[in-house]
Amino acid sequence: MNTVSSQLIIAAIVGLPFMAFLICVLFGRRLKENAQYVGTFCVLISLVFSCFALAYVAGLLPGNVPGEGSSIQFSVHWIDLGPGGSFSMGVDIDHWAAVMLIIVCFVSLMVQIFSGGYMEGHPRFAWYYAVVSIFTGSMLGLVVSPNFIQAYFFWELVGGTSYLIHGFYFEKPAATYAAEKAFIVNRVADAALFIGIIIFWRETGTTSFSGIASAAHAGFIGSTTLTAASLFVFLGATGKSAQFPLHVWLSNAMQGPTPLSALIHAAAMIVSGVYLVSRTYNIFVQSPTAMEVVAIVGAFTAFMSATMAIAQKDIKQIIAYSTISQFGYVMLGLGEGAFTAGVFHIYNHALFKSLLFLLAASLGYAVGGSSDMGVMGGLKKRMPVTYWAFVIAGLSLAGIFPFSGFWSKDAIIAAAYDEGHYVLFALALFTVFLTALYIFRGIFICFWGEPRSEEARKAVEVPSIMTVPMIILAFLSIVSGWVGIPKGFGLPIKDVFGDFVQPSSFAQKTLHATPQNFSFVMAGISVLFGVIGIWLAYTVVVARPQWATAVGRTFPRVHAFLLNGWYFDLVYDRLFVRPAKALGGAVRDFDLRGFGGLVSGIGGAVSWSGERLRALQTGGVQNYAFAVLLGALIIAIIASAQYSFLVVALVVAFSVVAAAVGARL
Amino acid sequence: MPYSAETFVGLIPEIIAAIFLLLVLMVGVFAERAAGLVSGITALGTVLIFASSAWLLASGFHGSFFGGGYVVDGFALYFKLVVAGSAFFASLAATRWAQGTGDATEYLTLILSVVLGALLLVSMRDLFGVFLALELATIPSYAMVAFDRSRRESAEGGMKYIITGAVASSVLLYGIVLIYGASSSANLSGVAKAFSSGHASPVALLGLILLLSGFAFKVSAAPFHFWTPDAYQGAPTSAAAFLSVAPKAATFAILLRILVEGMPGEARVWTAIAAVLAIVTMFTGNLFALRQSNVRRMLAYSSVAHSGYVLTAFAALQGGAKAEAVQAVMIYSAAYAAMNLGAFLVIDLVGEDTKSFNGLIRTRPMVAASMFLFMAALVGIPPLSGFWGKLWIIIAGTGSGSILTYVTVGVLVVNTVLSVPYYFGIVRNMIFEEPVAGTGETKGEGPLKFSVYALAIITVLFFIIIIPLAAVAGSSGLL
Amino acid sequence: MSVTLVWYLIVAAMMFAIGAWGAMIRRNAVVVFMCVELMINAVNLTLVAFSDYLPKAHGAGTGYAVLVIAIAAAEVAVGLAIVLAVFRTRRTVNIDEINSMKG
Repeated sequence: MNTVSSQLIIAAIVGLPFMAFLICVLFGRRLKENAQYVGTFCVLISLVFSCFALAYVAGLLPGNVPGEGSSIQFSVHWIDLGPGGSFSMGVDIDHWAAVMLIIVCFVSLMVQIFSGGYMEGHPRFAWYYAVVSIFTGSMLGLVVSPNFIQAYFFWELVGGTSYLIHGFYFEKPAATYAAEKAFIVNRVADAALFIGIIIFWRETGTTSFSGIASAAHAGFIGSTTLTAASLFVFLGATGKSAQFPLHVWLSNAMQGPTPLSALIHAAAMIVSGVYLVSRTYNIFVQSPTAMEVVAIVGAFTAFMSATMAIAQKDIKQIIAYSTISQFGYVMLGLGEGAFTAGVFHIYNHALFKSLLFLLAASLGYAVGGSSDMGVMGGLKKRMPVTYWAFVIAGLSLAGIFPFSGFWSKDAIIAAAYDEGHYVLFALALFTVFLTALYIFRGIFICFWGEPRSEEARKAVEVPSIMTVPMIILAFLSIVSGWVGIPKGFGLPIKDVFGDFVQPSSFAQKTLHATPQNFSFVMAGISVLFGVIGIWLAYTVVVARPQWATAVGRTFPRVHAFLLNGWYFDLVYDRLFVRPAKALGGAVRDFDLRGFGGLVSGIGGAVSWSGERLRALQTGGVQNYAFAVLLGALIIAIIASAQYSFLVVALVVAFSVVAAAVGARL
Repeated sequence: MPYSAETFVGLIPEIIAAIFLLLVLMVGVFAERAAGLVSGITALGTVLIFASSAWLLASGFHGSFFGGGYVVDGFALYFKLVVAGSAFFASLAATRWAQGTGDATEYLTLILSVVLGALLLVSMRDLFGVFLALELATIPSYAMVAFDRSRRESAEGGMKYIITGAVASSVLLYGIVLIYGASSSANLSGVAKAFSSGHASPVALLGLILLLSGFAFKVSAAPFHFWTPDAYQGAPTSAAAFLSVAPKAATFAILLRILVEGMPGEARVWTAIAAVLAIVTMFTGNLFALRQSNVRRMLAYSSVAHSGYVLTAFAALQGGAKAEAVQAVMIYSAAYAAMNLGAFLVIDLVGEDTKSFNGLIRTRPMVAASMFLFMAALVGIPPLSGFWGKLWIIIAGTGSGSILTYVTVGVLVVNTVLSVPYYFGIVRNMIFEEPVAGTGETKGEGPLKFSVYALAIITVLFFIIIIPLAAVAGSSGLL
Repeated sequence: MSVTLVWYLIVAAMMFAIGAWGAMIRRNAVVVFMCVELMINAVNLTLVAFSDYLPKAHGAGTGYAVLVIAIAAAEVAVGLAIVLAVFRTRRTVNIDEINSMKG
């Protein structure tokens, strides 16, 4: 990939959406509804160029031989750190990144086409397309990043622009709390990621993914440090991918326009976490502990959020919890060493999840804006396209043969079994049942039975600009998995995906991975669990609705426990939010009631000195002057101490005194 | 040969500043009501200072004058650029407000005096020269703070500032005199000899302590920071914006020069002091900022916290990361100048009460977007300017090899998260609250809005600007 | 008994302390400025003593002392102007009563 023109084409994949953003922002008022053509056109070109990139790395273009080394790599020198090293900015597209580029562009394209109908007549139409474009561009930038610094850069951009999405309907008061929560949880995760990056950088002197991996292999990083740094990176990934324990923000952050949720969940923000883990896989495989943590967190998250999804009343909430759950599967796959299965699931998930959200959007469009299942029902006849697409997406999500979700999910579950992690295997298998249960519960409530509201009685099928992307995605949700049918299945087709997207030979060697064999027994069990789930959903919703109410009445606490997301919000509130608020309150009291209250709280010694200080005080500004001289004294103590442990002890005393003086002023 | 043509070339920025200072004063006498004219002249002057400094920097100028007491090197020129740049935006932003007072000439003269003081300050290699230049930058700033006669707070803030400032100045001067006494020289190379052994005499050590106390006041490190919120709240917004950026950057620069060139032998002592000050300062600034309802006061506390971040870089001036620590101070100063100046100027456009930011995204979307960028940059979100400063500090801190510095860097990371709620509070008000009446546009905002937008663009494009900045910082000549 | 450098330094230190004490306890702003003057002059005394007693300093400190006097004068001039401005709005120069901003 040496010629300037081809490098420009690759750079344009990322650059074009940013250009669309600028155009939509600057000329939004003049463009109005035409903004959709700008956004859609730019992402379409990006998609074409991504196909070019894929063709190149696949060796389909002249001048490149297929094989592991056939990735697109080029970079420009960015910042010089003097003797400390330097940062570069560039592109590194391997096979998996090329596939990811196409996923992102394709989903974004579908969302943008769909939104032309969904957002029609909205006063901030052009702004909507600007947000979609910059979001897509940020994600594309993350996908091609060759090093941690550039990745962090786009990582934060993805997070920051997602804030624009959560706050899109700023007229709604509920959006405030959700956006704030999402922001703070993600800051915590990002701080963790940054610590991980700095540890890697300090230990190896580079931030490039491949450089760190080879430096770690060469023994530049101690195994404990490697594990710690990997876990910090993983903690960052759990924040973005909404994995346990940082999953709490996602279910609240559903206030944005529903088609944008499709983009966030299927191809952008939430994916960025799992994508980062897959991208840094060569680093993760060197720490067995980190891999194990990834697998355990993944399996637990999958199970936990599936149980939460069962009791939800809002179709968007069900789909949101299903995203957390499905990325739990991906993490499980990656943690078990089944790289190909994990990323294959990202690929399949992107298609059926974007479809599910577009369907939720069209349901909301049809019944007047709500996504509460309480106002739906009986829509099967009125909205046949939506209904059948929903069934296809549901079957794919539940992993029913031969829909796309089956192939990847089955491979992940089999990997857990092969690695001998039977608890994780059982959790994953049980989650298949739960998945089928919650999604078909939603489908039966929305589409079967009697309409529960006036809007649902009058609902009609959505316009064709919305149904076309739905039909395309539904078709793909059936067939997309067929490119990865394993060899053991006995069909005379190649496992295209499995051959194309493989873990690096380095990772394979480190993991001692043996190629998996397709097991019909395993597949049969997993499909059976799914079918049982669907049957149960049919029974409790359609055939015997009294059962559901009876269960709910018998175990009200269990129901509330699931509905409230295992009370994580409550726990976090008690653990973090309230102490923080109490601290803030204490600081405020400091101001309001002065120093006295605090003094009596802390104790006699401080109180005594406080009184002495008080005798010294005659008024406002002189306390400031006093503080200057006091500070000089403190500095003198530090300087004469010359021992760092003394200094650390002094910090505490110093802070108390300084705060005391400050409050008195 | 004490003076030569080279002296004059090296002093071009300072000479321009002095000429324009007099020019503004003269024009003010003859054209009393021409606020636009004088602020235009001031802006032109700062542009010329900027251009001449940039030219000297580009031509690789290096000179030492007045018996080694004044040096023009990359390090000094870099900070001259920061000072001139922020003075440019501040003088544009001051136009509208100064017009209203009728004393535009005096106000802009004060700005230019601070600029002149700061320009001289960063080049000084003589402790008494440092004191002279520092006072030249500080004394006009007292007057700037007390300049707004329409508000009681202004005079009060000015008085609090000057009383504590005068005490701190005398402490600083005492420190300088003691160091002079201990080393028989006020020149930094002479001072370095007295501190070279690693066991400086008690007099010298006391001098160091008092000197650091005086500087801690000037950069508003806790517990020397008490004047900061009062002075900034009382001051006219453009004055608060300018004073929180330009003189502060210059003070950090000269402190860095004194410590690195004058007392490398006692690095163990002053890095420990810097670390402790940094920890206390960061916590103080952020905790106090959390509960402010006046945005200007909040930003004043936030500037205290940012001083703590810079002091973290001072704590890292040891071990294997000295060069990176120097670069960190330089890059942080530039990054901080853009974002903090911008945030203060937005206050001038919108109002100082948090409530006046309510619903700004609907009434004035471009201003709200700029404020969003400044707040995000102050938090330190990439690719905005603040991130790069913090990145460099963390890189330097983690390479210093000292436990205390690691602790300080940890505190910095914690404080970054701690600062999110109050910066975010502004953003929340802008996006989610109902707009209040009377936040519409007023006349004569053109230059102010230009400054805000230009600073927002600089803040966003910092990931490109960082390339030349890092190159200059890497070859600054200090270390 | 000859008067050595140390005597000067002790006297100056005492002057500085007295000035600092006064700056912290006096209520009248004008008196506070006088106390600050006392502090600066104490430092000046130190400076002159050093430049007189240290052979290596070549007496350069005397020149610096003149500079310091000028700076101190400028500082107090601005300070008194500000005190006047405060007096105009509040009719008092008692610095205890000037504390409308806090927290």
